[in-house]
Amino acid sequence: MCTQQSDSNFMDQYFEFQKNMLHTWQKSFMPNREEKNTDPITEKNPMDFFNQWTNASYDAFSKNINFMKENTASHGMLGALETYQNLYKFWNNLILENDKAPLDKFYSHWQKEYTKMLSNHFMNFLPDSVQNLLKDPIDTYQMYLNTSKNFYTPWLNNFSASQSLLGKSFTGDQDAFLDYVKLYRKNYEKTFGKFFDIPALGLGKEHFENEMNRADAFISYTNTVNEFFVTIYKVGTETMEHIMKEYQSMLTKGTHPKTFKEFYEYWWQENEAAYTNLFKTDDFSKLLSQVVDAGLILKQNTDKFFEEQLDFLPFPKMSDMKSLYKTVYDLKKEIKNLNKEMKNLAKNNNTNEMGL
Amino acid sequence: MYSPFGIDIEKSIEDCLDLQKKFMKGMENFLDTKDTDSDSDTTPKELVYQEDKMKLYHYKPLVKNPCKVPTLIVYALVNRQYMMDIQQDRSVIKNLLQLGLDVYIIDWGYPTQEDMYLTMDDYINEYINNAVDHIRESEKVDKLNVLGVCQGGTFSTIYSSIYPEKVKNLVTMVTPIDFDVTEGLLFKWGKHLNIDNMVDTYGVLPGALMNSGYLMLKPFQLMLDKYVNLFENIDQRELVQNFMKMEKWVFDSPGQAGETLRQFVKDLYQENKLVKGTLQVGDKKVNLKNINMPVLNIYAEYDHLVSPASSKALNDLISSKDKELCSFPVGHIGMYVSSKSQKQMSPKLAKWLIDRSN
Repeated sequence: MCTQQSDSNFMDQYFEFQKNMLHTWQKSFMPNREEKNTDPITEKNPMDFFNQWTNASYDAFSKNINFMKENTASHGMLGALETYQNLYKFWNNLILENDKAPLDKFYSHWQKEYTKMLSNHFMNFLPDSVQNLLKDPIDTYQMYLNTSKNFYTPWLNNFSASQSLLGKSFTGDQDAFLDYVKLYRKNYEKTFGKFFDIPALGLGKEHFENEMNRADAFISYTNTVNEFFVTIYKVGTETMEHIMKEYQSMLTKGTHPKTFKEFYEYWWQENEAAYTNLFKTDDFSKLLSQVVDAGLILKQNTDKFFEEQLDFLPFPKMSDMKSLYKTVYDLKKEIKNLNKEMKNLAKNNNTNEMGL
Repeated sequence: MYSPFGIDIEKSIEDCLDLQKKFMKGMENFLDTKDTDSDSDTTPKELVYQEDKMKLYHYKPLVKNPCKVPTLIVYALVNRQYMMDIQQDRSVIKNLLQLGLDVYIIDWGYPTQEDMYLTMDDYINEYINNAVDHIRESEKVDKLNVLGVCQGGTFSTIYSSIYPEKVKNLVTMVTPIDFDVTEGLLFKWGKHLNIDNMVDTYGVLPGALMNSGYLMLKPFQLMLDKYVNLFENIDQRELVQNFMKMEKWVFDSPGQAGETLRQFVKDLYQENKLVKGTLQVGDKKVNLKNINMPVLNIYAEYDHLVSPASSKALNDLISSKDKELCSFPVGHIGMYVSSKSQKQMSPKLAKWLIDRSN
């Protein structure tokens, strides 16, 4: 059933694609008189054609392999295709705007788009569960908000200010990032920090302490993740800037990449080199370790939270299972050792009997 | 034909047409992609011993009188051992059998949560040792050849230093030995990793999580250019088929038994105990000087996972008189799947073992 549906989708896509192709051909190679008169730059049509055609090809292909999404390979492929397609748009803009607009206008426009492209690219590395955690920090935030009875309310007051700074920081504005971290810390100390210092008392002591730990874990996690991605994006935007400058210089010498394929080769190798340089540093190794650690602590707290919520149900929890696994492991080991001893004893007995 | 923007329009359109044609053909190829699980695509083998999730397979010899000393392949816990037999036209296993070796291989299986407490002691002193004893008994030999791959090479080296009396010849391939090297991102990142937290959180570490780390080592080559290359050759059915097989293998990552990984990262990546001579596995002390049998140490010159410096260190740490260092101009995986390496590596390996197995 599923295959049939996929096949039918494929055929629909295929015919739609062919229709688009013909339309593009007509538009590009048979421009009407009016279009010709209004646009003196004759090169516009081939470029438009090139642009539309390539996009149509990528779109059609990505849609057609979309039904294979459960397959990990095609999942990675789709991610790569998206990045490739976005890079194509970037390149297309770069070559067109290069002569027409000041570079800084182009740069500011592409900073956001480029960061989005890099974000998509790096997200593709992560397992689905982690992607969800990173892609939906607001949802995660909401979950905590509900479960801890509006414990986070004071934070919401500063949410838009901090998000705005965070947004700026994602475009490589380090000052904005520092302001963001400062604001975070200030809010933290004003609100949660004070709560964390209050000694827990009475019946809800344990629950209260757990809530404190969870809040702390969540804040540390978001802070570290932000720092991690700002570091990643910063290298990306710096490399983009470098590529643009170098491209201009190559253009004047006539040594620039002549096709998108050539540009792509140049682009990914420059990026790979830039990221390898970043990854080699001690600071990045430490940051990577911190971000993994913060994620793990958050997971530990989340797991504990769910265990607490499910405590009244007649199901074994992970902590119960861990204890059981340990017992089974120890017993198994003991049995294996006893088996070995018995085997050796039998062997020795046989040898002795044969000796007798 | 150049536009005022310096773009070679003619060439660009040619590229575009070419891509268009390939995509159309590629869609057909994807729809025709065969299931890669079929046994008909692998060299025939027989299950001869099993303990928990570990399985020991014996490949059916492909020559009349195979080498009298059997060879046991110990693969890494990360990824699956079938990579050595992934394509019949480039199968390392098939080549070694055709060249006269008698081959066994360990399949570690897929650890589940109940395996979280398995330690390096279990893997080396139990599973490998029991597999070796099984082969020794069934083949009626005192010693056998051990061929370790990647982390399996580290385990085989440790095994050979604890039980030198059972190992006739040791071959290590793309094996990390010295973990205190400056090349290689894994060695750098491993130093700072809080492995305790990781193991305590997961118990058995998800393979996908490990894979994320490996992919990040070359973010553009492994997550972009690899696929772009596929798009460019997508009209070639065989290439697409082989790509899908490899891709399946890359993402077929078993989880890692937490306690084993904890010791591997702490004692090796972070404290380099194997080289320092302070490693202990279970109740056994590991002294590399105990390795006195012939050793062939093979490394890949462009290995981004296990830097050559890490592998090369072994030969200076053992007491074997007959030891050889050998390299090929390939990457970590290329050692097993590149046709260039296949033409040279397997014959070299088989000859080296046969010469020393009399």
